[in-house]
Amino acid sequence: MQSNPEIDFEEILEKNKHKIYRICKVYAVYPIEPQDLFQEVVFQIWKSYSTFKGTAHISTWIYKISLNVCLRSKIKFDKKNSKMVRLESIQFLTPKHIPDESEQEKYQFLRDCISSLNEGDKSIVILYLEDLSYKEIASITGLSENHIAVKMKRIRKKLFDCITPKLN
Amino acid sequence: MLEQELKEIWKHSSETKKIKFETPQLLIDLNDKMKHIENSIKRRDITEIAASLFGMLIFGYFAYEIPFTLTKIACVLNILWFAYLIFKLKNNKRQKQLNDLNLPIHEQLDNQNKNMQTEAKLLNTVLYWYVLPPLFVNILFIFGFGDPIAYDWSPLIIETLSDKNLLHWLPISLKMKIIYISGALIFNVFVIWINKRTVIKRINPIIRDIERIQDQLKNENRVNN
Repeated sequence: MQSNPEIDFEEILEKNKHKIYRICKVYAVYPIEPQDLFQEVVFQIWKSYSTFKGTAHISTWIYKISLNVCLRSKIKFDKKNSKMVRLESIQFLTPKHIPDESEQEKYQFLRDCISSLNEGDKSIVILYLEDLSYKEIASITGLSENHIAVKMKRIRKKLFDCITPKLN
Repeated sequence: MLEQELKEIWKHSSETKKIKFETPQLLIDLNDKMKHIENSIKRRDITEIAASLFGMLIFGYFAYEIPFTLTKIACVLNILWFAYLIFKLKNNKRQKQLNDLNLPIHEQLDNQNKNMQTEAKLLNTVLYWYVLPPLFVNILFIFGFGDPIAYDWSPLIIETLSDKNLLHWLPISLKMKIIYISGALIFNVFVIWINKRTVIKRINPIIRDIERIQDQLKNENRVNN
């Protein structure tokens, strides 16, 4: 498939790390930290990398793995509290420029509104916020494009109804 | 406008952490982790097979050594049951869907659901494949057991049993036979209970969770959570 899979894997991680982290932040619920989920996703991407056929766009594939891992671990973690992968070679540092408080507050509002949605709607709205087309969302979720369009109309209304009073 | 604003807020949400990969070490860590998981699976498989092979060996020896016909037959049946156990556990693993994370969310959930249903079915039917066959064989083994001295069993074994004061522990008298069979019944009731409990407490809630998310993905007008 690729000439040097290891280099490509690193590139893929570097390019997509923020996407993955954003998804993990939404799905991580105490006692799971977003960092734990992130490491699990990285491990699963590495594990599945050899089976990536290259027929889909790499970022669509990353979204698929990330959401599958997050959903799966949520189901297991809620009930069993099983252990996740720990990779010391991934570091989460505090950046020099931290978003100001108002930005963080806005994110918190958004996160609260996303969390109020059911799991099915949550995964769709995350992909919508990532600016993916309905076609891409459909290929990641396994639903039809029309189905996504209908669902998105309702989810968008729910999300806007929830967040508008908070942002104003 | 709001739509764009939300997307901006969302995109900036990952800026709270700077993620750094120590690349050469990361690849080593990932390889180590993979090996660790593969080894645990291999160890578990080997333990399962080894336990059954050990059981086959023990009952093979009993079948050879014990002179009572019914007990001999029970030993051979026990060996067959151990062989079936290996097949059953291997077959159950084969029936499970591959955990392919490349699949769309809906299909991935479907696979997880099928795997959980297979697991639940296996545990719910322990009565038929794990409890009744060995229970029947154990009863046959116990009832078939006679007096080693009367049957002129190997003098060395009789001597060893007498020396260690084990003769009166053997299921020779009706009283001992009833005690052993009662023990086997109680143990097997416990096995059924613990398996049913696992299905109710652990597997069914997971199946319900998966089905809830599948429904939420597919259907409209569902009540949230």
